[in-house]
Amino acid sequence: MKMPRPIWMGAGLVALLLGLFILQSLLHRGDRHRFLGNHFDQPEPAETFQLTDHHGDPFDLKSQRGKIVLLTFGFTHCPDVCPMILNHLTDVYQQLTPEEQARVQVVFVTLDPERDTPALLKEYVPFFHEKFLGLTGSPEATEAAAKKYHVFYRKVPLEGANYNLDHSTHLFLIDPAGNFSVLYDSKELSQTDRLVKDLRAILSTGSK
Amino acid sequence: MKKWVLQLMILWFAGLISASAQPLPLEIKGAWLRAVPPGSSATAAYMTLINRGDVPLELTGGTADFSPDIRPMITTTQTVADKTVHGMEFVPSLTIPAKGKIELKPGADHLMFMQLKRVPLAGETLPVILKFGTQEWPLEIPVRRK
Repeated sequence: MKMPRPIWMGAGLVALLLGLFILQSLLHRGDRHRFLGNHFDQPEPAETFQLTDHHGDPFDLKSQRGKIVLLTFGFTHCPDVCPMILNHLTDVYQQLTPEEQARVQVVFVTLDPERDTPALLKEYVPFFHEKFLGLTGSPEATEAAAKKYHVFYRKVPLEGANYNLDHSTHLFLIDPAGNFSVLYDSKELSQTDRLVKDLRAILSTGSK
Repeated sequence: MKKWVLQLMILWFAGLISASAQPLPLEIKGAWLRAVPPGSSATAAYMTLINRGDVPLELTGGTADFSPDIRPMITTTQTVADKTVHGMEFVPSLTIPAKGKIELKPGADHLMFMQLKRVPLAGETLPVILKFGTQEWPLEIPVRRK
């Protein structure tokens, strides 16, 4: 039986569009950026918290919209892992152009608010880069912020009144739309060139 | 006291001194100390320790003018409530196996420098004494910011 002409043309058009769609998605897949960290395809809005920055001003995550926030938790008496992470982030930040730097904010949240006062953070955090921000707060506010990011920490007593902290050492990437978009393990961060590529991939997605 | 007993004692004592003065069959490569921000109370040093000898060596700690308390630490990774948690633990010593080596590196085992009297500055090279039990190993360690 002979198909009427409009139906035949319509079917052809549908097939052509479907073919183009498949070709487009295949090409797109080839271009897709491979993230160093664990990238979430459907990121959720990043949790906010009530903390104070090292200048003594209240910090509001919402005020960072339009920027990537690289969020890490630690403490200033940490001799090994925390300065290692911050040094990697310094390296990453210095690889960015001034325009890119203006769209990236590194934030270090202390898990040791008893010792890490804004004054101490003001000495500590800008050592890694003057644009980095240190955050502190009451022990309760710190605990609440850590809980929201599933950051575990506990005091380990040393001699005298001294103590260390055991803590999880992830880096959280919050995209310019305010979504928690990529999670990094601290061991991945030595690959600073790949982290720079991740930042550029997110910054180049436009107005997000 | 009989003369031969005294001679024997002298020989034994001399032997003891020479044994303790014998250099360790040790080589240290790539040592560096981390430059830390002002106000820091502690920092860490990293290096590769190579034992050329036939018996294991025990790195028990050290001392320096700027940090009187230097101790070996291991980094621990535990899973607490399904989360990976990094911690640090002091250990009495780090063992360098006979004819073997160990690597102290960031995020892993290291020497912790405590009670900093001043923060080491990037570019400096500072004298440190490492301790292997009763034996000492002087080391000039460069301070780096990385």
